[in-house]
Amino acid sequence: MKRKDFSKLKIEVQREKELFFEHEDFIAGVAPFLRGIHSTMHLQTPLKTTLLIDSPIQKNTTPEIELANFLTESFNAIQDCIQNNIPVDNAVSELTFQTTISKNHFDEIAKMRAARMLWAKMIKSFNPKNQDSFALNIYASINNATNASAAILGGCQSLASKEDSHLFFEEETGILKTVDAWAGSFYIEKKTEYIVNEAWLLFKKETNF
Amino acid sequence: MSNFLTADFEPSSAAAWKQKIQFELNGADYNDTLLTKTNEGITIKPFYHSDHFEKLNIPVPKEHFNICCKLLITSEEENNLKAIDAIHKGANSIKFEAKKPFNMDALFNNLLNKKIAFHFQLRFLSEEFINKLNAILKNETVFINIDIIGNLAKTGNWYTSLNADFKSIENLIQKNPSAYILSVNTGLYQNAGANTVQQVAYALAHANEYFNKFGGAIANNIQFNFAFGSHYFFEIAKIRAFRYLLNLVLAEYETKIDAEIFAEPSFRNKTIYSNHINLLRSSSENTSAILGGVNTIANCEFEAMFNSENENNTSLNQLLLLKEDISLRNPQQITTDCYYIESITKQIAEKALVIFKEIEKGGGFLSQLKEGTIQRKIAENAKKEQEQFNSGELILVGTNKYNTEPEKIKHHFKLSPFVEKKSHKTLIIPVIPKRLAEKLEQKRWRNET
Repeated sequence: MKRKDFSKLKIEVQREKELFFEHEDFIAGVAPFLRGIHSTMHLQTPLKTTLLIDSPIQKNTTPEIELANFLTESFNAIQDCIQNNIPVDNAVSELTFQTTISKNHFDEIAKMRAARMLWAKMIKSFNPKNQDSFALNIYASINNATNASAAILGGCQSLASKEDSHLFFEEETGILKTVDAWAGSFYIEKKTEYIVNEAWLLFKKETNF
Repeated sequence: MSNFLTADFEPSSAAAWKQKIQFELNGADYNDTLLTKTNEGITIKPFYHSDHFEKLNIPVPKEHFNICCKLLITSEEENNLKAIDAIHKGANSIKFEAKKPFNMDALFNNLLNKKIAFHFQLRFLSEEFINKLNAILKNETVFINIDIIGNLAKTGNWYTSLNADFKSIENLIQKNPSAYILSVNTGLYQNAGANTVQQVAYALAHANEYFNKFGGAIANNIQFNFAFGSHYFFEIAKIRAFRYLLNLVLAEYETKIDAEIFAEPSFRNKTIYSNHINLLRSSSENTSAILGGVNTIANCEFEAMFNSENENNTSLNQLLLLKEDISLRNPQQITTDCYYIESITKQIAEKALVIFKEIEKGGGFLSQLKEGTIQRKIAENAKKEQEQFNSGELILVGTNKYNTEPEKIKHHFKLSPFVEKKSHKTLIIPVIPKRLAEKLEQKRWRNET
């Protein structure tokens, strides 16, 4: 058969997403809370890793309940501080979201993204002066080295593990080369949205926010 | 999410974000500090944003992926039991690798009519044997995986001769028109050190030799084999780019297909020291393959290869765990519209198309293989990778970084874990798979007391 001429082949690029979620572009307006503590997180600031002696405890709960509880506790703690004349920025700097990563890889990524959005919205009500206060610090513990990739892709700043084989994900997979690598993904954005909405409802019910 | 954030915060454009990053960099150069240039010639940006969204319309598989257990045929009875065991554990396909014709009755005993897919990798080409195989497995899903061009690339020789090999394929297709007789084995190029863009380009050009000879409809008789490395998102993107380009090329033959793609973890980045990292590597590689949209995925044979005591079970179990997590969701919904994946998919496709066109302009894949051009290009990239590995820029954990603990492994091995080079006369220069860590490991091996 005579060879075909492929010289004119062209790829066709689309510019439209199938579904655009309203929260997708709300990133750097005040603080880049959707994508990490600094927009350059992991690129400029190396991921902190610590070795654990004991296995972290896995809470048997849903991401939305876990986040609602965290928000409620943080909200009450900040209010206590303010009543004791401690400025909001000082109070916030002491707070960290400590979480244990489960095996539900994609839901864990969505959970950490949701955590940052919820945090920024809650903090806004206290009118902090320091922009960094809008950004949530996430400390993720893992029971199994495989879960390190969810922790990193979700955008934690600190990773704690009993063994160091999770270094594989940091060194070999390239997943730290860009921030919030899953942004835009239909599933991840939808799940993020769901967790945010559910957790916020629960939080409001708890605190009469 | 009605006004959840809109009420409190302003949206941000990509430009505003970049400006914010530049501010945070405090004088450091944005390009120097935050851009990552890959061996493919693609630049990874520090962030991806909807403002620069672009994607290709990727044809995606409609069914969930299958889990395959690979077995090298040593004794039919023993392999039969191993296959039954793997099916029992949750695999739904088996790949038998055979060096010579085998006893089919013994091998398939109690395996038929169980909705299992059978894959083969035969190191010989016998029409009679394959016809018999197809007849016995006529009610099964079968992939024979004959790849005469791949065999030429791998061994440097045809099975018999160019004409005889092509004639065999023609006869086999005529006799089994709806069977998956052929394969395009791209894994060889990956294992020899080709980058993702090259792999996609060579897969296309390699396949196009079959289209050119037999017409585009032959694509329905081909399974495409890919090997996966650990560069997570690029590996996801390469399969998507390939699916897109394959149909772009097939459109010239006025046809299109949902390509059958078989995936297995690469050997190139596996190590014999710090062996436990290999399981994380193959886990990451399998996840990339699933998210990229392959049809069948095989367990990592790396451990079993060197250590006959070690069964394939660990990596099979690991695949089953992955299936548990991912099959609850639709992999395509996960990758679709992800800014980063869509962007690199498009770039890989663009660059691979350029290479594909060059190959076609130069007379096609076979001709470039005979000239040694393909081998040279792969060797260039492999050399670059090797240098990056040697200088510590490309890291294998436990091998060229964090290898602080002296490890003794010699006693685990019955045979030498290193490939012995045998030279024999070949028609063309073969494409040789090579592990990045091999040289370093040989040194460690010699120093073991």
